Amino acid sequence: MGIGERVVPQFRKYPGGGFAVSSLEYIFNWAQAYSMWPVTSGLACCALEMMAVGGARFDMSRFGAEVFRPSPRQADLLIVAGTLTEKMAIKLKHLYEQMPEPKWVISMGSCATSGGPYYHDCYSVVRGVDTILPVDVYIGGCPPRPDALLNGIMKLQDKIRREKWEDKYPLKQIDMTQFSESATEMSIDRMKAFHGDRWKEFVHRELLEGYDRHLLQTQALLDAARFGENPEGDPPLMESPEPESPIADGNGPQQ
Amino acid sequence: MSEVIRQALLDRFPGVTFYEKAIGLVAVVPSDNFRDIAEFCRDDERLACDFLHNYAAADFPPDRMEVFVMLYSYRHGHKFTLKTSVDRAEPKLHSLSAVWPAADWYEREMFDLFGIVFAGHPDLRRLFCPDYWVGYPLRKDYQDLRIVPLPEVMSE
Repeated sequence: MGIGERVVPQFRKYPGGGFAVSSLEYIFNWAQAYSMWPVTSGLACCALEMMAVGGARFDMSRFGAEVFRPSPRQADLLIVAGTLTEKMAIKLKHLYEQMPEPKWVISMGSCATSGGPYYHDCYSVVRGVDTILPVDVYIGGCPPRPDALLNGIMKLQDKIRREKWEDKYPLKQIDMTQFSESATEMSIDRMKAFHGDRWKEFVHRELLEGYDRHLLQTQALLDAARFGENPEGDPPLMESPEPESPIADGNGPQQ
Repeated sequence: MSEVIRQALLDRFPGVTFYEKAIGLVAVVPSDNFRDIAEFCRDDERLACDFLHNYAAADFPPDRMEVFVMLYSYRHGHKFTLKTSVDRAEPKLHSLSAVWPAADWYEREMFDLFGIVFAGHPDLRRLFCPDYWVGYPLRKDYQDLRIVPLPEVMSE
């Protein structure tokens, strides 16, 4: 977006430039509000209502938001439609980070908003998508009616049309290095998030070896899993190589 | 129908005990030859349990966990349940994934949520929880800082 980052600051230097900026701001906001492309990411039953909104009966294309994109790189609206579990949270965050700026998030339904019916006594559900993403519009309901999602989209359009140029540009630079950290480091971070300072008490004895999934699989677990399988000892993993034929050494058969 | 099942199991494994519940006939078997009994249930002519109906576990603190297999026979149209209990401190059991291939993911699920280790399983990884997960969430003594307990007013 070269206009937003380079041209507009030049406008401000001249008398009357602020008027041009506000006109540009109006035009850009108008265009962005009525051409939102949501990313196709349904998480649970709210996704069915989202599909209904995309379909002919409710028809969100009347409001300029119908182009569901299969790739986050082409989308600028993330509708978090459904229950966000711990396992999906990292992937949804990754999806969000792949979307180009400017981008907006709608939290659809009570699960995405606060955890909903899974708020109490539940180990697997994230209590509110706003713990991992910035949310623009919350929609209540379990699931919300398609009308409610349309209302939420219109509320978001109102919000976009009120946005100031200085808030939106220059576009935020995403630090992609945070995604290059290994799964192991992320695992330890998540464990600390689960258990606070006492996280080591909850690490299972197999995990104490190295907090590594591959270590976990190959060493301790498989040793434990071989219990009682072969009292005489394990068979070799591969067939022992056949004795080399005399041809294989390159000298030809011995006469 | 259940008499045939009882007799077929008792002929080969005299130590098996039985009881009837709403789910039908339940055969309580020792965990040592759990896999042999399962293989027998599949191969025996009178049982012929060619379908693994359900395969799950339950936690009974402080000392044991129960694993049960619900079996169905398409040939005879009968079904029954094999149940065994394992030590809770070190839950181990022989894998049934070589007997019924469908047992593969059931065992991964039980490993994931209860921490039961299945000997001889080809690919024992967590199934539902992410790889960084700590602990086994369906155990009764599972603790987690993020869990918000239900207020007593609501639980009544």
